[in-house]
Amino acid sequence: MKSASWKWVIGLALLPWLSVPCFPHHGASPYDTSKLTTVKGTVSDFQFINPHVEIWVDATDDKGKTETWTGEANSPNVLSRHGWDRNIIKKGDQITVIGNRGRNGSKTLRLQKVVLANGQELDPNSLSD
Amino acid sequence: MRNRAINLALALLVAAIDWTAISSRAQAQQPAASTQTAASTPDLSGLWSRLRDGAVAHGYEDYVLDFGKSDSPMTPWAAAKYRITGAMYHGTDPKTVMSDPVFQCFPPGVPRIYLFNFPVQIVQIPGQVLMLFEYDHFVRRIYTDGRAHDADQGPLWMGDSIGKWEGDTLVVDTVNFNDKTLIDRVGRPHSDALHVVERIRRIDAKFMEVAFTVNDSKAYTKPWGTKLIFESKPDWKIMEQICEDNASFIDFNKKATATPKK
Repeated sequence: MKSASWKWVIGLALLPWLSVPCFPHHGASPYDTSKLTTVKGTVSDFQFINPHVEIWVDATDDKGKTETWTGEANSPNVLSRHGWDRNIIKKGDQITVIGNRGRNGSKTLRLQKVVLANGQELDPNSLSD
Repeated sequence: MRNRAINLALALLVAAIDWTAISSRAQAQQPAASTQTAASTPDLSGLWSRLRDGAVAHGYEDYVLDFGKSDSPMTPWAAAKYRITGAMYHGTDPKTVMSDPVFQCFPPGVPRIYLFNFPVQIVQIPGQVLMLFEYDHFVRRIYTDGRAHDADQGPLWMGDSIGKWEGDTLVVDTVNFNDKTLIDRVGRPHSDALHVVERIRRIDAKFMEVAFTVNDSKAYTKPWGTKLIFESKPDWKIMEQICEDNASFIDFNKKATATPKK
């Protein structure tokens, strides 16, 4: 219900840049780095943990069904040096997450950008490995 | 009573002589180089982060995944191995990707540890330079007391390092690697003949250079290497960073915090 008013949007933007940074524990290959997916919804959980910061976002699809997406960011150490902390995102926050979706079709994103409700943009992947 | 007092005095005298002899011997056995202090050597100490954005402006490459712009052609042995290790990064099967030893939390080796986006703290103490990496809290002990390589150890993940000062440069010589790590994050292999030489110096108060050479005649047709630039980060600190798997931790955390069913 909390996210019923939100609709998730999938923006398929072919990236002109194909930098292939990869996370320390699974590389970029599981994700389709040629496309960006945008999901707008309500934060259902936020874990500022090693090795990757994780954000769960509940979003409603165009049929009214609520789905949970998992967004994965860089490590908390790297992100804390780029303006993040454990309280920057809270459960219930309305946010937009943009990233590369898992090739296996799962609702997982390797995050490239996070936009908070107040319009503040966060870099979840700064100078990533 | 008097005899006991004399005996006690004699015993104390003998003990004092023995202790003096032991102390003198111990001092004589100290390698001369180990008296080298941090104050008498160039100072590399501090917290350093490798420059990526901005490296090019300083005349260095902005390496992210590999040192591929500078490597040498592979031998047939290494090329055959690379067809497997390189495929880990070009496939789409997560299980294949996970076969990289690093993704299973094995040590990354040298020079690959420099590719990680985490800082390193350098500490100099008499006879040793310590590299305290944030990534998985790896410690490289570089002995500068004049000792030779330890030939008694089996093959090592991070190799056996000794160092010496040449003017303002710390020259680090590392051998005795196993052949299980990879040179970089796109799967370039190496053999157990890998021999890495690093030349580390301060460029100025703010920047440090690590120039390394990879010598591995089993894997590469000629020695190759490159230079990396590090920026001093006096306001940073080394934070906790351990190799772990998010999925298993989250599952563990759910179980650990779940309310027991009655």
